[in-house]
Amino acid sequence: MAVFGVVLLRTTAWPLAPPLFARWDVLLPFIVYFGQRRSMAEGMILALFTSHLYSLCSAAPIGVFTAHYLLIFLIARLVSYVVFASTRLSIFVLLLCLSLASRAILPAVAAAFGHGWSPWAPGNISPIAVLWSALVGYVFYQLMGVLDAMTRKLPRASIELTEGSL
Amino acid sequence: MPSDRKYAFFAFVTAAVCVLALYIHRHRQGQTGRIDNLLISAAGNMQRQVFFFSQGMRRISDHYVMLVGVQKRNEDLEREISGLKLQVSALREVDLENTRLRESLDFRHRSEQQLLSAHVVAHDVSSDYFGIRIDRGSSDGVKVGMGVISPAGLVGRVLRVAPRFADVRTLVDPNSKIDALVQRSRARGIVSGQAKQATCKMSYVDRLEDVAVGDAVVSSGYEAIFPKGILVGYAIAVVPSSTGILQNVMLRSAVDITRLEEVFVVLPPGEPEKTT
Repeated sequence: MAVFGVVLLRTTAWPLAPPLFARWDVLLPFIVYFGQRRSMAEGMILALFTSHLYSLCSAAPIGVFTAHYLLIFLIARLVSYVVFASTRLSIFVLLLCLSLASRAILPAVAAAFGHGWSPWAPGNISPIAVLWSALVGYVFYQLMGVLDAMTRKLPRASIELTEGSL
Repeated sequence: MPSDRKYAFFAFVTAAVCVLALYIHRHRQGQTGRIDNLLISAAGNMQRQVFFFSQGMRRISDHYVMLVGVQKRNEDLEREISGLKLQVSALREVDLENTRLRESLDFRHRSEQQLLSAHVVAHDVSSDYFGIRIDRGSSDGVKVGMGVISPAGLVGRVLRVAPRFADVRTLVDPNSKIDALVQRSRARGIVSGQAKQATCKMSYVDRLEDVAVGDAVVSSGYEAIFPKGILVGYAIAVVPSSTGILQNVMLRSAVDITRLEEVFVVLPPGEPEKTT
C-alpha cells in the first residue's frame, strides 16, 4: 500500500517538480528494505509484485524494471549478510551505494532488452540526483520501519540472525 | 550460510528467473492480463483524481502567484499577433488558390482522420522513460499501436491498453520509433527518443539531404498511424556521421510532454468518433 501511494504521488504531482528533484527512484528504498528486513520468500514476492506495479506505470518494456529491482533486491539481500543496516548512518550509506549501483545496473538491464544506454550518458549518474534519491529513500526506509513497528512486524534479524546462520 | 539455506537461496533465485521469463513472454506486444487491468484501473482512477488536483494547484500558482512580467509579455504577444494576422491573411489566399487548383485537377480531398479526445491522468513513474497514461481504453476503441497527437504536435503511440485507461509511449522515449520528414526538403528518417534527455534524434537521413538547424520535422503519414504533416519537432543540430552515408538530426520535440493535459487518439478510418 505504501508503494502504491508513493507511485501515485510520483506519477501525478511529482512531474511538476524541478527536473533534478523529479529524478527520484521511488521503489529503491522499499526494495532495499525488503532485502534487508524481510525473509527471502516474502521479500522476493514483495519485490516482484511492487516492481510489476512500477512497470505498469512506466513506458519501459515489461520486464526491465522487474529484472532490475530483482537484482537490487538480491544485492541488498546479499549485503545484509555482511552489513545489516540498523543505524542511521549505515542505512543512509547503504541507500547511497545502492542508488549509485542502480544507475549503473539499469542501462545494462535495458541493454539486455535491446535499448540500453551508456552508464556515462549525460544525466545518467548525477551526483546530486543520487544523493537526493538516497535522502528521500532514507526517509521512506525509516517510515517503513515505523510502519513495521506499528503493525508489530518482527524484523528478519530477530528471526534469522539469532539462529547463528549468518 | 548452511547448505540447506544455500540451496533454498538458489532455488528462490532460479524460481524468480523462471517466473520473470514467463512473465516477460506473457507481456510482449503490450498484452495485459486481468491482474494488470485491475492494477492499471485501480492506479488510473486514483491518478486521475490526484493529477487533476495537482494541475489545478499549478494553474493557481501560474495564474495568480507568478504574475511578474505579465504586462511585458502581453505587449510582446500583441505585437506577435499583429504579425501573425498578416501571415494568416496571406495563407488564406494560398488556401483558396490551392482549393481551386485541386478542384481543377479533380484531386480527391484528403480524408480527415477521426480523433478521440482524452485527458492525461499520469506521467511515467521512472525518469528514464517517457510515458503518459490517458483516460481512454479498450472500451472506447483504443488499441495498441494507435497514434496519439495534441494540438501542439505529435505525442506518441499507444503502448498498452486496459478497459478504461491506456498507456502511451511518447516520442521522446528511448524505445519510440516514428517515420518522419523534414518539411522543407522532404528528407526522410526515423525519429527516436534519447535516453535521459527529453530530445529526439532523427536517424537514417541521407548525408546528401538538405537539413538545417530550425527546420520543422513532420510525420510522414506512413501506415496511417498519424495524419501526414503533424509537427514532430524542430532541428537543433545536424550531426554528420564520421563514416558512411548517413547523418543524424537532433530534434527538440514540439510537445512539452511534462505539461500535456489533453491529447487525441488517432482512430483508423472507419472507427466511430467519441468526444468528451
